[in-house]
Amino acid sequence: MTIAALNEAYESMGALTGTFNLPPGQKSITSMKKAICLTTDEDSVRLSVDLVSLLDRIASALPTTNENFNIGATQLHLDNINENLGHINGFLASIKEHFDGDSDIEIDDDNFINLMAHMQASQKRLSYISDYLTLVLQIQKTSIEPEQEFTAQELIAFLNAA
Amino acid sequence: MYTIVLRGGIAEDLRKARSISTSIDERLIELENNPMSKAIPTSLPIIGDFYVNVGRHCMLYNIDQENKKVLIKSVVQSVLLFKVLGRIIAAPTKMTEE
Repeated sequence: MTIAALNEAYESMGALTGTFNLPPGQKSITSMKKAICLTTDEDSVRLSVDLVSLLDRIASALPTTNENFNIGATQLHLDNINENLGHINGFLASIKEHFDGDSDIEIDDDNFINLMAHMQASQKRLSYISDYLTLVLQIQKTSIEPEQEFTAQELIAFLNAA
Repeated sequence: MYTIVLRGGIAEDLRKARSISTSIDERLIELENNPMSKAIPTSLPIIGDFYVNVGRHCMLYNIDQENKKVLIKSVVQSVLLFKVLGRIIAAPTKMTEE
């Protein structure tokens, strides 16, 4: 995936995750109706399928070598991923708040079941991409620090000294 | 015998990891003597060519055979590294619309 295609994918992801925003606040009849409408809608399911496949494409384009790696651009991608992960987490928490636990409402609608499966799959993918990029960035940032050389015993003594 | 090379921030990570994963010292001596002895390839050069398990942590490193150096790239929690290496992405239960 080219940089341009990747940036486009991130833009699409932002638009998709934004679709699933539910207004925060106390549970009310109005907010429950909104949540039911959103989660049982066929278009929502379609969008959630798009989101999963988009995230699969982004995951398959993750950097695996140092070639053409750019810390600044990768940090932006990570920020983007984390922001969208926040949207998905917020969505899932909101649904849980409305329909789990002490709620008397049980939704057995197929669209709802499919949508939730896809949103949880999206959450896992975003979490994976976030962890991956975080580790890569941490290592790449360290790679510009000055080097120190040790024998094993010297290093152990150095670590003990602090 | 290999020289162990590390960069500033990693020393602090090693210190923290040693308090939990006490076999790190043993691994450092093994790296000095034979860095390939317990090396596991990552297949991801961007994070390091090899890693070794050290208790609840893993050390990521490269080997410079020519200059007899082991470059420690990072010390990370095993659970994070295994997640990254395994590309753990659970499939959704249903992918089709109904």
